[in-house]
Amino acid sequence: MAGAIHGAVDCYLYENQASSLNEAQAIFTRLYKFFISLGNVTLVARNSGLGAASGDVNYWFEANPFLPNAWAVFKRASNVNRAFDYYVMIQFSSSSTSFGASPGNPGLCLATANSSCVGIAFCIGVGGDGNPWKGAGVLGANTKGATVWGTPTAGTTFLPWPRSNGTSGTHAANRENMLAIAATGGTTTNSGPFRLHCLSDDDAILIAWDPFDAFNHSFLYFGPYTPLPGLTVDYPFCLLLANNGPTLALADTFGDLAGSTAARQGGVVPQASDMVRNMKIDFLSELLAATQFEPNTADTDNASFTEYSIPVLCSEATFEQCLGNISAQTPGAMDGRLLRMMYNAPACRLNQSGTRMVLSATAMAGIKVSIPWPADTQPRGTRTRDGIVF
Amino acid sequence: MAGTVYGLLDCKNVNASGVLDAGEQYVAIYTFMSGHPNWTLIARQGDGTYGGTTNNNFFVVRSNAQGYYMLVQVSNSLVQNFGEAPGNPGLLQGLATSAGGLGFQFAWGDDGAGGNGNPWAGTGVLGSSVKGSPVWVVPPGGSKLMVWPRSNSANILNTGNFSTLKQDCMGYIVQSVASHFTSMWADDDSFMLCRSVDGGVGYRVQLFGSFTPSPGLVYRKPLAGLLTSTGNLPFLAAQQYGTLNGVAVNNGGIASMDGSMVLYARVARLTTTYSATYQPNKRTTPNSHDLFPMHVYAHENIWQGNGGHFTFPAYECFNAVGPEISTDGLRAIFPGIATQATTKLVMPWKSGLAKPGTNTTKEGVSL
Repeated sequence: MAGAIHGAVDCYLYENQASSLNEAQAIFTRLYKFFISLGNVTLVARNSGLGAASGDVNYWFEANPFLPNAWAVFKRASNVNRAFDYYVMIQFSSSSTSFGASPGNPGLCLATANSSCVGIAFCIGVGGDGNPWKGAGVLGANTKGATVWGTPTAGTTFLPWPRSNGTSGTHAANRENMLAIAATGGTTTNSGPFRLHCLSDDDAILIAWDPFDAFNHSFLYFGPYTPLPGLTVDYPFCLLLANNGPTLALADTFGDLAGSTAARQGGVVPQASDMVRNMKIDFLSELLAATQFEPNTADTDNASFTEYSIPVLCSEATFEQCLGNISAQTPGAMDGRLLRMMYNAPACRLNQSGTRMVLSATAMAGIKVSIPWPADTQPRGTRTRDGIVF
Repeated sequence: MAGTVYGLLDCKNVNASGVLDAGEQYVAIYTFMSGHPNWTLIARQGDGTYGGTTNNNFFVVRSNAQGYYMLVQVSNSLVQNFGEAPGNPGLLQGLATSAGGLGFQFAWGDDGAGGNGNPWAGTGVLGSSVKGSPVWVVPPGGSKLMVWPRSNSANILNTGNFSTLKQDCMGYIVQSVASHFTSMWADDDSFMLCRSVDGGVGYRVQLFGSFTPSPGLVYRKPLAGLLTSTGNLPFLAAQQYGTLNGVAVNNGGIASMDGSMVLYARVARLTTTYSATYQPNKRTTPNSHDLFPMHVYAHENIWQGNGGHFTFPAYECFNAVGPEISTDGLRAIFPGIATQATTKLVMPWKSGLAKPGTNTTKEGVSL
């Protein structure tokens, strides 16, 4: 991880009064605005949706809104700490349209063509010009390629997330599958409030959401991990998506071949010339499985929670390997800050310095994660779509 | 880790006498630590040489960087108990044993306002030093004192022999076997000793030094110690290191956050990673074993929670063959049992030196 952290947190989307469009449009639009605002992001392609003019980029209640099956592709350029570009695509379907219908074709969200979905996918091109995006057209009226992602011009391969878009995955042919940013099952509900948190540094993207603003967070992390000492990894990136409450477990596998598991998605690249494979996390089970150790009472005056880095393992059969840590710890410093692991912490609670917030299921005892937070700003304290921007 | 790691490796004792071998190990430790450039010799009873009179001899050194003190004491006679004059007051693992053994204490006190941070209460000149009673005290001007092992801290069961006199040592009885191999290391912050009790795969370890607190934790003095006294490696995740009465298969302790006392310690490990499925790491060609820092935490009554990982460059690995050395000869693998699919320790080694358990001199090889 590198660079300052930018965020738009506590975005409050409450769209159930809408009749023609649902909250998926608002989620998509907020994500679009967040990505556009990032400094080292380039908009590569965009289609504003069925029936929309090429310049339509607004919320449903504004003039010139995004319309169903709008999508956008962004490029995250390489930098001094990351030798490769990566691409991210977002798309949505409304309550009356199927995900992946024109002009968002081909496209699936969690392997389905459901209505009311917000999808996201990532890809890294290996070699050549590094561009795995196979679409065409001019900005605003772009079209997807029949195979959405592929090997860059003069390149050698490509690394797609979700895992199902890769070799031996269900969607290896067209690479059209996407991950869901919504409630369990992959669809939005249009029946209540929706909290959205978007965070990014120069390399990683973290999106968290609480479908009913009910202390039941989900999150997606796409970004680097720090390889173990002695390991040289060309693409030390992973994707970790935990839906319907981030109570993580050792048995969780992130990234199925079918691309349809809502609760857990993700993957990691074990070898440069290889592909995205499914992954697991690990933790100190003596400490993160018993409530007696968290919060930490070794300090009798000031009990506090420990925030752990997250070990990353490739778990696909015959490729099992320990690769490194998300938010690896530099001694004495809170350096890798986008995502950390905790135990037994209550949802939406801030740390003592007010700079991190706990994403959690409602149950206390379980492995949670924490994310950066604007100092001394109370979570769930705003009710605006833009949220708190920093 | 801080500073250069120095070592004295693979010292071989062949007396087949626990009493004699304890004396030789004591001299090796003294020779090594008194010559370390970043530790200072504070006190010594006896001359610290091979063949000298070592009954209840002891010495004290100080980590200049961390400001804590280490006492090492030997009982080297079947007719004199550990802790008798001139090594009084003293106990080994809570007992006044008569067998040949080596005891270790570690102590830290804060310097406070205008204090010197010196908790050593002994007196006398080098060679004729004597202990104070109690052995360790709160330094002048200070307010905090921590003494390892845990039994020297206040507790509700015993305040006489232990916490009052601060006399209990963590350590081990040296068995009478055909050959012992002892290796030791110290950087600026930590001391570590590893010994084979059977000349083969049965290694036991003492590690004491600083640890890096996990993010969000603030320790007044992050120090911890782990000792496998009569149990072989590996350090056990379900094991409590440190007891109230000092009698322990495994001993040690971890500093409380405020630096006022020593608490029971435990070790924690990754779970899935420590398996034959994930080790050695298939990512590397040829496959190699990942090295993991040792993680320690407090596990006592109401004072429980995470600590951090030791700063000393001693790591754990899983499913490796040991004793063995790395391809470059710069690390050595120390087992506790012969089974390959177990946790082992990996310590710095000297390039060109054969694997542990092969040297032929009691003086060992300097690192």
